[in-house]
Amino acid sequence: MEHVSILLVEDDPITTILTKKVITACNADTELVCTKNGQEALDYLSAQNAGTLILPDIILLDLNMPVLDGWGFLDNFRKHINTYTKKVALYICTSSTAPRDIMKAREYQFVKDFITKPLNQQKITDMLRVL
Amino acid sequence: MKSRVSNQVLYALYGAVAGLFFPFAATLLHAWLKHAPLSLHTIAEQQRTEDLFWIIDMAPLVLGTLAAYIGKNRDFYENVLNSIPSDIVVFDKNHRYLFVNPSAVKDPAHRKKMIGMDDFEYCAYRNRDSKFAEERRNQFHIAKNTDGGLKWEETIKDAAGNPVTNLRRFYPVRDSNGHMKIMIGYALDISDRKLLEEKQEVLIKQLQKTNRQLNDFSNIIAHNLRGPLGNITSIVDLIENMDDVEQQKELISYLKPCTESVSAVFNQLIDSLHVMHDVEIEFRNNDLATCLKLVRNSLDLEIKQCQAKISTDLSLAAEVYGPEKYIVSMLHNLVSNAIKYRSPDRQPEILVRTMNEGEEVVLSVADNGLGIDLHKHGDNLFKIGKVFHSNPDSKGFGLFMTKTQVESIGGKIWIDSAPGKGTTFFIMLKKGK
Repeated sequence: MEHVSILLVEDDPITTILTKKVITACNADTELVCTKNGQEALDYLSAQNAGTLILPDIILLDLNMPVLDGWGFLDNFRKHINTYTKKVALYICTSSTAPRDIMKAREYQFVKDFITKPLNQQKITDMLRVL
Repeated sequence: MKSRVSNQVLYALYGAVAGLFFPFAATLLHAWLKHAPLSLHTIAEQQRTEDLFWIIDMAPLVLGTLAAYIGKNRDFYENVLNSIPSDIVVFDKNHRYLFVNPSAVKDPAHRKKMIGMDDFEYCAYRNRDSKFAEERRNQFHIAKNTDGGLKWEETIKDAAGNPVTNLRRFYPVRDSNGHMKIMIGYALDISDRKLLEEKQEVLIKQLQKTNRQLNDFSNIIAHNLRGPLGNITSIVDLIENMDDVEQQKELISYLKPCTESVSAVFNQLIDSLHVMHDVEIEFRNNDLATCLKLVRNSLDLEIKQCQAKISTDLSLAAEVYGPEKYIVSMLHNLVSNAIKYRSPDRQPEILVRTMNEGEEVVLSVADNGLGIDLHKHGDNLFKIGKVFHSNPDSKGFGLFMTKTQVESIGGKIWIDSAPGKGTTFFIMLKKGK
């Protein structure tokens, strides 16, 4: 498997640490970048897209976050999706199981899947396999 | 004294009442009463047959018998109308009283006097507000132009001050050409039914509220406990698949914040349930200046640290009615939020003021802080665990609890805010008694 870059958008520090550990436990050649909310993630992506760095292969996006939540990030991401030089696999990764959230996520066609927390090795391995 | 019914009214009421029970007989009798003597004479003159003259000779006897019969029946129908425990009135086409039964107006003298009057004259006679007459006149005109009449409910207070609800109806009676001859008005006392309906409505509202609370409660559990519980599951999974003792120790250290988080949400939910179902909490008048003093004392350190300027304008309403601990808690949360989410660019200014809104007081807490984008966050503002600024002290419990407290005592809370300009929270509460 080739080198895979992952962008995590998550405000909870414990979840961030545990996600790192789960990804590490998968023994894949991965690189994880962590941002604390939707705005930080957008800033990171726009810097990446300026051409100096490489866009991530996977985005793991939480929904409930301060400053700019997951939905706000998706709205902004959609506006700029055509300008990105590479296709990014975006997964919503949330503790919500509300049908309303699941339905709303379907409105964003570029969202690859709606994953309920916690993330485990199996879920990460599946993401890497279908990349 | 019974009410006397004029012939015009009696004929119409005969038709209406008799028509229900014996339509054929009633029609014959009615027609005969109006036309029979004339018709017999005409026939006699035209036919000139001797056979018919004896009938005319016999007419006084027949008519005498019939008059006695009618008189008996007239008394019967009058008795019926006067004994019905519902208000019955009959108006002529100009909205003047033709008949009023004792249920509608008890005093026989008034009842007698009002025949021939309209409502304006009647109001003047009884020294009543002519608004009643205007209202009735409007209803009369509306009913006049309808086929089925007009129906409405009206609640008034009886002599003892108890509310009495009547179902009223104006029903126009028309001739064969469709012209209104008379208007029958009647009213049924539906106070008992109304009381039951009101009780039913309160129960339905309570049920809806409980259902909503249950729904909110399950959503809160799903959203706010799943996160930390999921982390605990991850930690356990990782520990199971790990041999390195040091790494296992590190993972165990992460369990504490997770369990603390579960515990905090759980406690907050229990507190909110207590608020929702605390039926024994004491309501009293609360002097807002005193409540605010308590809040200032408890936030003294924070206020001094950021040099927040807190001003008040309680001139329009100085007191609110409710449980003291909730009023203080609401003020505490809102002032504390105003300090927590202050703008780094200016000195925090907080204005607490009151406005009157009928029987209620609107208490507002306005700040010049960071503000919030209501288009983005408006729906989630009062939900548990929702934070909108990256402040490490934010847990998302304060506004949830404030809303729970406000609603548990029948109040309302809402917000006005603009990013970069500030936020104003409004709370509507009962005015001090």
